[in-house]
Amino acid sequence: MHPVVFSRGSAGFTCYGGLMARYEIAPTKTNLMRIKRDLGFAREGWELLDQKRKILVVELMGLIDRAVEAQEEVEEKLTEAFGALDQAILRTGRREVNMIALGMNIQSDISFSQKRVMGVSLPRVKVRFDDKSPYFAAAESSIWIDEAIKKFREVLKLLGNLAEARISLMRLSREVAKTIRRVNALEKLFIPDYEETLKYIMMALEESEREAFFVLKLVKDRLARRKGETYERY
Amino acid sequence: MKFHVIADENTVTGFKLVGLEGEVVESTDEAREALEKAFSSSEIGIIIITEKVASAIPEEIEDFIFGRTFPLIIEIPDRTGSLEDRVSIRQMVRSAVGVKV
Repeated sequence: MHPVVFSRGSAGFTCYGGLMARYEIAPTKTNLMRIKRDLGFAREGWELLDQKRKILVVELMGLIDRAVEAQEEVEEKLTEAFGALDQAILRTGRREVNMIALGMNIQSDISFSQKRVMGVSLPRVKVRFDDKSPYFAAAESSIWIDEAIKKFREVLKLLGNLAEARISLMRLSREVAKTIRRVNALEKLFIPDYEETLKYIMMALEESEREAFFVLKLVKDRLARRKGETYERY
Repeated sequence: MKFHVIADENTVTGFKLVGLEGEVVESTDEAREALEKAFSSSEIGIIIITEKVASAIPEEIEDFIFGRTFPLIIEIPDRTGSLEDRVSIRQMVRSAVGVKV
């Protein structure tokens, strides 16, 4: 079953109060059936989309707080980390810090999985650390480098969580917006237009039925009269 | 998979201290190039980008977030803090959904 799309013509376009409009379509029994079927289909679709929207919004609400929290946490730690890094660079020089960075042996590994909500794929992130200390000769370095490393590690730990929450949120909110648009299009445009068309066809059909009935009556009447005339002649 | 940093020098140095690889970018073209490169690598799972760099190439970032499943991309503030006109998470959701949350 698929909806038949009629042109929403502008020439013979009938407007009621500006908003409602019906499709230009011949008022026949076939079209009546088709419109009825499509209207049923549209209503069903509307119901499903509305449910989808509700589910997505629930999911979205649950994520917002988590994402905001994750972001605040990361930002706080990041400020500390940058402070420590500045100190390290100030005291030992950028060159030294870069040298130490070259010798770092911290491996981080991210693994992904997916969660699907209503057709939207949301990432699940897991970060694993594998660090082999000591990182450098203790005598050469400043305490600030230690501090910077510690802080940046903390940031890194939180980043996986932030990425997960933020990306999920962005994808979900886009899907919600899309669904809302579809629900509205069906509810405010498609369904009322179809209902209007349906009404028009039904009225037109009834009218022609009455007309046909009237013609029949007329014919019968005339026949009867003619018959009477013939009787009289005999 | 790994992290990858696309940022200014300070940020890259900082993350290098914890063993991440990164690229220092100073112009819009460099940023775009670095992003392309990071995307074509199958090793990279999450791209860390500073807000400043991201604000120079908003379309590319958007494409990334919505168009592809991987890698993920996250924006962080740099040494100088958050951008003033940064869109907060709540604002973002509000503009998408149309209701206050």
